[in-house]
Amino acid sequence: MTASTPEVGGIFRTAETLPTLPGVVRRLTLMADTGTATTEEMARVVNTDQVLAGKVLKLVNSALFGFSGRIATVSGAIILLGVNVVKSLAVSSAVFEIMEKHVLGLWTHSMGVAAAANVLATRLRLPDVEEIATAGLLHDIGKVVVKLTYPKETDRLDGLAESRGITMVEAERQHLGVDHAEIGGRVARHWRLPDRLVEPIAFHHDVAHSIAHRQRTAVIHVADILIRGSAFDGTVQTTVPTLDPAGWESLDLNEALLEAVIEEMEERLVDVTSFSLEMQSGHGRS
Amino acid sequence: MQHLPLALAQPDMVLARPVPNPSQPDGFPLCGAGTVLTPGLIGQLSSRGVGMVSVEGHPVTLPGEPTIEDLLEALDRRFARSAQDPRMAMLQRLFRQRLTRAHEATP
Repeated sequence: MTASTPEVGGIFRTAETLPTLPGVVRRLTLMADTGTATTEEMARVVNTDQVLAGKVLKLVNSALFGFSGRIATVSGAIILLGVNVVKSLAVSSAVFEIMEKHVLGLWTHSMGVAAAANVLATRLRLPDVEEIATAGLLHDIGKVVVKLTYPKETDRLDGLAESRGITMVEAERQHLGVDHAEIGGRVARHWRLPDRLVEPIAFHHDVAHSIAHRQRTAVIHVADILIRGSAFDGTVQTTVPTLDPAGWESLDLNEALLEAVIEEMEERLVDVTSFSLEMQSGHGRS
Repeated sequence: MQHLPLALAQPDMVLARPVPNPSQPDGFPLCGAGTVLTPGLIGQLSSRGVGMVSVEGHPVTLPGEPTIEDLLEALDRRFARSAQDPRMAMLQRLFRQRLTRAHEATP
């Protein structure tokens, strides 16, 4: 199947039309693009949507980032984390309910990958670890599009992957001619997210195709595998994707490092579980 | 380490993580990691509204909880496809060690 088949075209059409981001996020994107707005001006825009601002602050203060102190204001978050992180958190907050409604467990998985990416990037002393973590929150956004476009087909893919012992990506490529990562990359571009976030989303199953942001992409790739391996997201039976050699080499990984990352990640996941339950129970929506 | 409802905590269990104060989550914890639980302390934590605690080892088998054998079997299935890849085999071994250690009885 190629990109010209009706099925793939249908998915891409949905990808272009699905996103209904709040006006606040669109305005924030425009302000970030022009580069002339002050922190206070951007914070004021976020604060016009109190529900969204509250969710962003909850995420900022969650175990995803592991800050010891508390960030009380949106302007504080922008100063500490940068406007792109806050923008991505606003996007994540906005799509949280879509994720939860349409793909069971995806939010929990995404939170886990974000936390694991944060731990791994910190250990590797990479810059912008918080932004890398937000890529973890959004890395599987393409799954939502695939699910919305072909709900019945997606249910069959789940069973197919499990019965044949293949990964979901392989099942998607075989039966849809496209995978959720490629779709997610399209969505991220449509949302005008920066390439630093688009590449990890688009190539988290294919690190070798990432060019400008390979290390960040590799972090999300490895974090995804670690979360699948730990079954943190409840996908106990799901086949773990194989580590891409390009990802391994770009991060110069070794056993001692991964052992330390897994230990710290599992500690962090205890708090992520509590936070995820809090979000799902509705407290996060207040 | 095991996360338990406080109602199932018993004297002599050792806290693996600090217990946050439910009324001041960002303040000082009520007690720190390494604290040995006593009947009095369990009562105090209960009266302060603590619901869950993390203790060392895996001292309690909860209803419906998978056994360590179930967990290791599921781990092998998740990694079966990539078992020939030395890096994936190493990852699987690390997860196996973590699971086994987490389910060891309290020292």
